[in-house]
Amino acid sequence: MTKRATRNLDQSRRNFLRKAVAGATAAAALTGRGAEAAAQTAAQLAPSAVAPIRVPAEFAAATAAPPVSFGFPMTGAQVFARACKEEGVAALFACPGNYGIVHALAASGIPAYGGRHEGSMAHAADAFIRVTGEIAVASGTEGPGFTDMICAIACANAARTPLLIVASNMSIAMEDTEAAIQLAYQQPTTEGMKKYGKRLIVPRRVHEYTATAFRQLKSGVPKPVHLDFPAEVASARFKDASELEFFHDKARYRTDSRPHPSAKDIGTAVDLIRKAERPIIVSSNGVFYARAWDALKRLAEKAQIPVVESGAMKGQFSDASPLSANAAPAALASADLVILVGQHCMPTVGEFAFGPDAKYIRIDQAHEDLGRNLPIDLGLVSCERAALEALADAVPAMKHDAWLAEVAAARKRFEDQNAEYYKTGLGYTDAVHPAVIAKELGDFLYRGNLPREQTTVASGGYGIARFVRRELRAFRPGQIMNGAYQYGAIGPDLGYAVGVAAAVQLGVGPQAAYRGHPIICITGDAGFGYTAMEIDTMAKYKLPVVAIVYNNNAWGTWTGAQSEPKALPIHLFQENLRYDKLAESLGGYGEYVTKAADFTPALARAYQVAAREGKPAVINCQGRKEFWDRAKYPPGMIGKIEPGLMSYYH
Amino acid sequence: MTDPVSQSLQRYADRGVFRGFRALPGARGRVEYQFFWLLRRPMRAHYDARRGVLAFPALFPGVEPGMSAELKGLVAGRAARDQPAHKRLDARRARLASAVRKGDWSLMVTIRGANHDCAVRGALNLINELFLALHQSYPEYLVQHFGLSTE
Repeated sequence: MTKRATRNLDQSRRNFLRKAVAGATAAAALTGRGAEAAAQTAAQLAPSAVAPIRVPAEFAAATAAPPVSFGFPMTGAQVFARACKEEGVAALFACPGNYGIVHALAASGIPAYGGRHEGSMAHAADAFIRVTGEIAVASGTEGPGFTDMICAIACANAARTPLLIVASNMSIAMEDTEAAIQLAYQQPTTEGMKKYGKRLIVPRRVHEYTATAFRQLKSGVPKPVHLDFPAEVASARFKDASELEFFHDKARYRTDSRPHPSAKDIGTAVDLIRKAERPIIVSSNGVFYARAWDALKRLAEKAQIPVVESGAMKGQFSDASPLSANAAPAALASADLVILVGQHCMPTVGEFAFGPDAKYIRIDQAHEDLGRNLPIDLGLVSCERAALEALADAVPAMKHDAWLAEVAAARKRFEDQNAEYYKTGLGYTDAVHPAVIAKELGDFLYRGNLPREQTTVASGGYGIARFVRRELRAFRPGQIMNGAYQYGAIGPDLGYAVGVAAAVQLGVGPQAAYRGHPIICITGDAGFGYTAMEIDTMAKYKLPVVAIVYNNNAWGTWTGAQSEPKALPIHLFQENLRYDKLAESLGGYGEYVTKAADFTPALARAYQVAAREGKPAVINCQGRKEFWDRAKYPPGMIGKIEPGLMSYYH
Repeated sequence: MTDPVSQSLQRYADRGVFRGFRALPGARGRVEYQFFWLLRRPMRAHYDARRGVLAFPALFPGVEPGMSAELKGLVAGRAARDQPAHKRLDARRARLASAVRKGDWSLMVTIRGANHDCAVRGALNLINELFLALHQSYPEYLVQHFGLSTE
């Protein structure tokens, strides 16, 4: 179609609309409904002539395009991409920028997701890793694209996520000049937020440093790795292997060997377990990344030791087991022996619920970290799986009936408390109370028609999380992504949801059996504001996310500013905002829930749409900020006990 | 300090449970203790060997009435027969009591006979659980009085 023809078409469409609006206005005037009705009619007419939201055909074409196997001659970017592919990098999350690297990664067949903000995409990569255990890459352009990722890098660092961050970074030739734009010194910026980082400055060493990155990502206690690529490195051309340093297979630049526990340490640990009357295992990140859940189950069942979880993801031990102490916070203080496994982020004394007489065994790969924060009675340097397997072999079959009865009683008390919150919440009829959302979400996911292990959850939010966490359960590894873990960022939730949904869409790692199912994201209105544009990302990649937004018109922090009239508005939003409409405008599905009775039907509809159409859905639950005021609306803002269901600090 | 209560408390410091533990002679033959334990606010206690009373004065300052009643219930429940044996503090060994004065909530343990270790252990485990109750139901109180993070 020529430009002229296009212009004529536009004019013609504009003319049609103008005529239609004029006609409607005239008709309304004649019927006496006035200008308001006329405007309404015009508004109803207008959308029918507007092109619908649609996903460009290029998305399907990208899926159909065959991957490229890079071979010499290669650019530096292709050398990097090839190594990533061989290392099994499972996904790329990016915004435009760092073009050579991003395009090579996508071309190699690594599933690539492009979003609306580099920060959200880096959060997505973090979340993807937290529910799969596989490496993902986040990429941004130099300067602002890179600095947009900083919060996400910090979150991943706190969560001990093996996230590979890459960014372009100007050119070596123009170093320090501020020629053109976007100069930033990246490596100092990520100081304290990474396990390893490097600005690559010698093109022929690109493979060597890529190998170093994977050696860091796949050993010991993981954390982010950050590589920045000057133009000379990404665009360098290599005719053959002789032009590269240390260009060899991964079997020669790293090992899958893991530290194993000494027989003496295992003997001491077994002795402590035998003497304990109320032992408990705390299972955390290390168990997930070492895929040690089978060994954990074997040990727990053989020695009848309850298990409580903490960490950036949950589900290494099924909540269906009578040995699960996740929902038994009142029992934790009774433990006399605590076995911390892969708890990389150590709480200080008093942050976990265990009593002052508890003894501690800590199993971790990081020798240098054992004894930090929480004094230990035995430190056991080992890969988590190796240690759990050795303990499961060495420990005798044991019974702890009285202790298990105490755990069961505590679990019942916790469930009774939840039921009480729910009953109280139902009594508030002028808005949706978070206890109602929590309980009915739990009913929907675990006690309704869905297989309880099916739905993966990106657990986020602030105030709402305090109720929903109490009802979330995990029945298999990678079922819950604990959003706020350790860094406590409010806002990444929709970004996290992109990553979790991508993991389930691709069926990576523990998500394989649940491939394609919708996922749930919990967030608040404050958090939603940061990353809501990623609904577009979800829609265009057909990621079936059901996002439950608790909309109480305020940051959860407003209660602390009640007596500060000048400061209070800092904590408030406009009231009754229509986040559901925002979702619709971005190609998603929206529900607005203002009464408790409407929540479950809305959830069912949203889930069906997500499952059927691969479409994101937002359930905008209208609450009220005063629900956090205990005096007016008990129970008010509730707190937490760690470890277990409620934990997110450690 | 050589009295059995000081020695018992010192063992918690030696194990790293308490930080910055200090035991100093106080008025009327009492021993005054100061240490950091569960939160960042220093904890204070004193032991009157003559009366056999270990007290944690103003353990929770500025309590609300509802909160006070909940804490009192937890203290009273400690001697109840339905408590698991490892949690129950037998009144024949040590008796627990709480009091509110000018809004400050205090805990007292009257030790019977030579049950000092048992009484100290019982009191400390109870205090841990009192804090847990506040963590769960009154987080804003801990923010206001104990410097807990609002996040």
